Amino acid sequence: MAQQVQASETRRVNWIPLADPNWGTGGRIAAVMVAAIVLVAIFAPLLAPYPYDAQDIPNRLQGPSQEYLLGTDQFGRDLLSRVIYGTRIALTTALPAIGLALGAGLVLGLLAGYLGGAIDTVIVLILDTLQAFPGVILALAILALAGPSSLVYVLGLTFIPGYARVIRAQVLSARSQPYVQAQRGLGAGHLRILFGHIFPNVVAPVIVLAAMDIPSVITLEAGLSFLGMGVPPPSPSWGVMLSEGFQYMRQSPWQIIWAGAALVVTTLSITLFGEALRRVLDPRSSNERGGA
Amino acid sequence: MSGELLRVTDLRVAYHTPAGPFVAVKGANFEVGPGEIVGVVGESGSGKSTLASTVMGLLGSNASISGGTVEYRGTDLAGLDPEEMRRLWGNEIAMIFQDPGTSLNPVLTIGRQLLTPLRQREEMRGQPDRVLRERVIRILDRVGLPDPERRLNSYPHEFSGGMRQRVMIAMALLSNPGLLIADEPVSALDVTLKKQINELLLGLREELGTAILYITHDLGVVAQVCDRVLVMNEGEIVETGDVVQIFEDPQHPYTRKLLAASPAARPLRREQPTTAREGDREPIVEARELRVYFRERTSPIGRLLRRQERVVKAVDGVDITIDEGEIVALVGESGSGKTTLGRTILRLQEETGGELRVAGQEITELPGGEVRKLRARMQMIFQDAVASLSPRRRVRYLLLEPFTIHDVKVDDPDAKVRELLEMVDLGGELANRYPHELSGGQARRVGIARALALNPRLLVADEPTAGLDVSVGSGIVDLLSSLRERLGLTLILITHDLNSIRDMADRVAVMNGGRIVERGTTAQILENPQHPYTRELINAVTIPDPRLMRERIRAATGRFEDNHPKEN
Repeated sequence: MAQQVQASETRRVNWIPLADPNWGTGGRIAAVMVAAIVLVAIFAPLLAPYPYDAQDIPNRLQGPSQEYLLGTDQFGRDLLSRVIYGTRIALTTALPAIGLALGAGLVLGLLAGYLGGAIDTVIVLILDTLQAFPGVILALAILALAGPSSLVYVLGLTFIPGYARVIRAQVLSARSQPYVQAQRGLGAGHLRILFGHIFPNVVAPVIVLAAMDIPSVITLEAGLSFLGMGVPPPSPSWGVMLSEGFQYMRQSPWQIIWAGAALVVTTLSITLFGEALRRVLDPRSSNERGGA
Repeated sequence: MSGELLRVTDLRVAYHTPAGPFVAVKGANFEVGPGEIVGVVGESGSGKSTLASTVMGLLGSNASISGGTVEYRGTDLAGLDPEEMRRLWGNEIAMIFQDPGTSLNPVLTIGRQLLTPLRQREEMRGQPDRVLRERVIRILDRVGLPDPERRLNSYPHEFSGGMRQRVMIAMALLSNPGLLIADEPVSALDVTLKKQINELLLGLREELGTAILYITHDLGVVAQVCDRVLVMNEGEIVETGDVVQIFEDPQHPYTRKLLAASPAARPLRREQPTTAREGDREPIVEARELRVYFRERTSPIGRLLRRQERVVKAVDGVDITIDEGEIVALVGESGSGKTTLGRTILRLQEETGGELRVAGQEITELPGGEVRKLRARMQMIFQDAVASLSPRRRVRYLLLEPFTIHDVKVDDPDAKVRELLEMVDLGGELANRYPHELSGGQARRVGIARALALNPRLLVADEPTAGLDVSVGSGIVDLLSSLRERLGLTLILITHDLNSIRDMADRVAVMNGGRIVERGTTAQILENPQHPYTRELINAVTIPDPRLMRERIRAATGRFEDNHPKEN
């Protein structure tokens, strides 16, 4: 018992640093990795040895060397620099897209779950319609109509139904919980119940979902770029690199190896970070670990 | 076969926690003879469930036997390999769990759940399905499941709690075990069902000679079914003896404390309410012809076929007047409408018809905003105390929230929180805990403190002592009584256990099928019940008095002998 109290006190004082035992070793490593990835994206111009579009045609499709640490692509561009700049693109498309999906999903899910009735029916109908199309087809169609500048919105849009559904289901189950009844009994208004009590309980699992979806967004963006509908060519999107490297795979596999590795490392770090975040955010997890 | 069935010698069980080993059972010694019913009583944390799990081989990976032996018919269980153990548990030792709702697989019919284990049994190998089915039907019939042949195809959710427990017992009896371990088999059930299940267990012992190790925290239940009792406290068996001797001449101080804390040991309330005397009584709640119906939703296809809508009449024409400062108990089984009535009085549930006045104001027509303001004056204590506290908010936040909601300014929030916690006899250090870090009793007290934050005039308490250990429950009863004295609260108690309110309630209204079937002062109802349903309820209440309990069982079954059954 004394241990539990201590744990919750600690959590109250430092909630940002990694002192919370719930992070675990893996979580701490993932957090450091995520921070490193973000820093790489921010300081890309300082870290990259060459501009991402500087061509050196005589040295095309090279393996790692002193000059080009990770090798070069079909135009002789430095792969290290492109991977570094690619981090920027991955984060500037994936993060806003997920943010958009999360925000819209939260609003729709909370409204549908809490209000129910006709509003619920309409929202669920919209979600059903969106989900009826395969994500890539939907994204391609909208991109074709609205142009490549709409990429972030398109990526976000395809992920909205997933969030809205998860949140709606969470709200539905929370709504019948005694603590919501108790809030009504205290005279609490709908806004207080919804944002003061239901929201904190439904948002944690969704944050994890968001963290785990970032890789999917990056992959979808890569897929769209592969099909030529994503980030336009000279930009070093990992997806573009994969699709271009694919054509020269026999001669020089380095481009897809590095782009793939960057994708895997980012995905893994963010996923593990999300999982650890869930443990830390959930006040009940200290008990699970205490073996009560 | 001579001597005992189960012999436990100097058994020690420890849980491995990050803080080091925690010894849950500290050297237990006891035997269970063939056909004997041995009760294990104790409060939560006494180690009684750990004891049962050990015998059943269900200890988790974080626990282990650190000393002593468990022998069944002379075989040390520790020396068996997994295959032998499986055979033993399948054939010789069976278990019934507390919650029949979650121990049955919800997606399989009960017929399948009963037939599958039967088919595994050696003597049943190669037998045609017809034989197996007949056997299952016989067992279901024996445990009192009506129309067993048809019910084989039913799913667990189609049964009531009592029926599900019967199915669980049938499952345990499939192998005709020598020893049945029952872990709180009736704790989740209503008084009348409790009695029926206990009668069933006694009858089975009589007929099949099954020994039962009966784990419970309810002394009344022990008095009803057990031959011998082990009293456990903090991992130790502090007293062992014949049931009559334990209840009539307890030796150990802890046993005495347990018996004294039992609600049945409390004096019956006879005096009239102190706050409202003749003449200045003012009704705080007046209900006339109050009705609450629930409509079962029909599917679109059902509507198309003009299928009749099913209407559940939860409250069906209730008249009740509750005076200021009174404690009124609404008593009945689950489904009697008592909780719905309580919730309707607080406007947590829409009424279907009738009038309802609270503090002289007709509230059925009030707009939502007005009702919300009224909520400051009338509060509810919920049955599931932990779940009624928002899981991601600390106690401090929860206790201050009523003030925020009703725009009441609090000068010194910390002092207010401390004051509220003190009022319910809790320390200020709980303020920073999350609800899941509270014990059941503490959560209940925090719920009461929150309900009292705004000085309400009316409090509705739904099963305030349900699920709590006797000593904790009696603490809650004392607390509510003293709060009534100090604050002049009007209290509506909702309960299925007449005994738990015997020294608290001024008046009792007995509900059945959505109507009040009998009302009167507590003494009138308990000593001279008129309505047959009230008599049935009172008769079903378990009291820690083995002689009286056996008298009742004998009257009900005509089977129960005072001595141990003949050995077979």
